[in-house]
Amino acid sequence: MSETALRLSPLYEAYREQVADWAVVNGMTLPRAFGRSGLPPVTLSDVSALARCGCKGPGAADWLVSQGVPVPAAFNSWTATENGLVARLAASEFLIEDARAERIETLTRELSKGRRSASGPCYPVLREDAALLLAGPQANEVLLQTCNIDFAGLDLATGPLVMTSMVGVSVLVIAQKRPTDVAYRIWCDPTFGCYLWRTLLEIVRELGGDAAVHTL
Amino acid sequence: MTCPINGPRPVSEFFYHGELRPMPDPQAATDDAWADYVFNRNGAPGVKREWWYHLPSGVWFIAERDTATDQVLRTYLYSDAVAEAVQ
Repeated sequence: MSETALRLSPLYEAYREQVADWAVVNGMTLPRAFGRSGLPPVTLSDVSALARCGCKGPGAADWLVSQGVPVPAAFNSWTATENGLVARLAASEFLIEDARAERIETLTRELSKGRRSASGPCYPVLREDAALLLAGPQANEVLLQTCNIDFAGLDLATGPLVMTSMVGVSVLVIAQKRPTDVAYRIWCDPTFGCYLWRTLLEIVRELGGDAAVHTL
Repeated sequence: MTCPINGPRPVSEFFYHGELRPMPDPQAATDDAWADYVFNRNGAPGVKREWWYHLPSGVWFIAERDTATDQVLRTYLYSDAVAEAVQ
């Protein structure tokens, strides 16, 4: 039995006319295929359906460790987990993303009970970000045109997480080293999602790329 | 502008929130002193301690800026300023 669509991606309006086929992932309607095919030099994908949650507070780091979640030692850094990632946004604030929605549901349920560790309370943070994936050999070129950070100059081994403005929108950006290229994950407030998508896609197309489907 | 947490960034990523001014005790201050605190601002150019905010990360911090030359002399977190004052 196919999954029922319960919600639309924050970017739905931005690309719905270009989508050839739709899928439902974690209850969210997402493109299964865009109108074009091929391997463009840079692609932009909507990964908003990935399950995620956030927490903050003096006891957040210790509480996450007690839940078996690896915690990056330095703030403004991230670490990969088996099915996702954990980002440390400040000394005591975290973003957790996992391809297994049930894992995030468990953490969210526990957080809603007002959890605390020996270091203090841990509060839930609602994360309904628009999440994008910028990939391909020309991906950094898009970033150079849209924000003030040269990601090519960052030491990716340290897992840097950058909070900056991209075409006027406050975003979180991380770079993921992949076998053939570096992919960039971008999160922003959902209300800015369509604007960010349209603006980035315009630049992606100028560089010969296009929107693409990213299998979650 | 250099954010104490995120490093050097273009000034477009920042928001200015005015001079850091110690608040007089509302219970003990005279009406004149309280009105001066609420309504008056020091517009004379010189080195001032100011509140600034890094928009993408939500970091509030203090910048010491020469308002005559618009040079930022140094930036630090407010907690560091308090620690410095205590020492």
